[in-house]
Amino acid sequence: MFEARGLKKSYGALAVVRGVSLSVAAGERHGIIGPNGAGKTTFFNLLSGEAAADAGEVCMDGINLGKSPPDARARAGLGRSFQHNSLFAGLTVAENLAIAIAQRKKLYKIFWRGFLSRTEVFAEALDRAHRLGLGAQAHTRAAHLSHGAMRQLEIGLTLALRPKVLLLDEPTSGMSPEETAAIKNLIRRLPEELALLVIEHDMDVIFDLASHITVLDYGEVLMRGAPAEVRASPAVRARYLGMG
Amino acid sequence: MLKTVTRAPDVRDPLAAALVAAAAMAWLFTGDFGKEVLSEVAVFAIFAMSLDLLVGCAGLVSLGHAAFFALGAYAVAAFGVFVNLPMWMAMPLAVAVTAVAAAAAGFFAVRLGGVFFIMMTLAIGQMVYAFFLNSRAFNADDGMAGIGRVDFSFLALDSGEPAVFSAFAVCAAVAVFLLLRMVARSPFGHTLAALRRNEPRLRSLGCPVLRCKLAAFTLAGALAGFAGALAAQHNGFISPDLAFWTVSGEVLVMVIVGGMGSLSGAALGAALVILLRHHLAGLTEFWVFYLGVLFVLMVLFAEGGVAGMLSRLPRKLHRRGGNV
Repeated sequence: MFEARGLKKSYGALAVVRGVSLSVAAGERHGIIGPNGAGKTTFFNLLSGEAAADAGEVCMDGINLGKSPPDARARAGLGRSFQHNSLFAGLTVAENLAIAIAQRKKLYKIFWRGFLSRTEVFAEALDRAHRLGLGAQAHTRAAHLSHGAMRQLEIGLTLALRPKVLLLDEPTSGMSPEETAAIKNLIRRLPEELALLVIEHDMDVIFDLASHITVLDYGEVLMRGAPAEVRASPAVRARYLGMG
Repeated sequence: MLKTVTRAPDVRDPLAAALVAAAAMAWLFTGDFGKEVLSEVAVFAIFAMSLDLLVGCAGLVSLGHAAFFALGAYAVAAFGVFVNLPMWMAMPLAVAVTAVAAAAAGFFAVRLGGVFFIMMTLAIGQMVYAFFLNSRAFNADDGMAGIGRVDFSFLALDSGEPAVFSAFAVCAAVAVFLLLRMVARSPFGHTLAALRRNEPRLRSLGCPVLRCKLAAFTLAGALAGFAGALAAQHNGFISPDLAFWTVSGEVLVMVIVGGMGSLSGAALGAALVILLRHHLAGLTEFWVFYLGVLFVLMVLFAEGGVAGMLSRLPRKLHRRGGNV
């Protein structure tokens, strides 16, 4: 249902992504691992449209997303979270979520009626805050949240789009073990039909959650397979897991 | 429950009420000259509020907003003097022309971010200035005179009277305030505010940010054109100077002194700058210098401009009251 074919991206002479293909079925939990500088985040940027690919294409439900910008891809059902939190810092948790919900409902077209009268949006925002485990902080400004809570809201904003394909860029980076457990829980409770692509450095998290794993190295696919195969592969162990 | 999505409640509405009351007092208790100043304040309040939609709400700092002010003035003059249309028809037509021009200019400008947007709007403004400066049809740098005013004779009123025209201008300013407040409070307005806070994130949430920015730019331009159409009638005279970039700068000063993100603050800023100009200009030739000093002080010490200071006042008084 979601497919990338031969994606390439160079910055000057530096080829960061060198022909990566990948396809994800509905309901699949696909992990992407690789050493620093392997091109994982750049690959995500090519998928979400934040960066333009030099070659290759991205298809969703058989439709080529071509050169469409990030907002059009989001409307087509491609949601992403960012490696570095990207929130509306001055707004509360519930307000952040309400803005995201309003985009999904295309309310930005309405300029003649008050936003605050849309009680269904704010009811959904509070409900989502509770389900993210941020119920107690629903009226706290995003800037005043702990790092872990910010990461949860970061994912929650993307989920408010009800995406068909979800790209998570290092959801547990910089988190305490408890916070990591909360994120793992959150990912386990994702809708079943959702296709998930997740970049992650925490191997316990990835081997636990993913049904498929792609290993990137120097902008190319080093290997692809089930978690057990990847864990057993001598090439991956030597190159990445540091157990060679 | 949520009170607001983008801002805490504040004095904005009491300030608007106070401004309307002050306008009513000025209208009742000043002579013809006072009423001329009142008309000027009302026109620039509309101009400043339209810019506040861009600067304060969407975070788009334009240095070419006077282009649309001038376009509205020239368009109303063209329809009034060349085509001989009554002002009731010339005014909406002028606003429509300005809206189309703003949409065309915005098509290029909103693609650029930060300082490039500022430079683009500055360039567009100077292009409009250069066009009118060299246009024979509009008498080039001599400008045009003899622009009429809206006809209120069906109410047995003469709009040539300062009392009638200033009342009309103040009503127009109140109408624009209500319109822009409705927009700012709508989902569209909240989306613009979110765009100011974090544009990449809003885009990744599926918001067509370019279209939203273009809509804001077009609406702001059209309302600046409306202000220009009123200014042309008020002065009876137009010249290319209306489009010069210092006019754009002056209206930006009004917005910043009054308080970015506050519509009534922008109107207050317009009133302050125009009243200072009239009073200081009589006392000293260097009034622009003193206006500059005020501007620097406001930027350094008064976050949110005068409206921001007023909104913190109740809390300060409360705290002081508690200590006694």
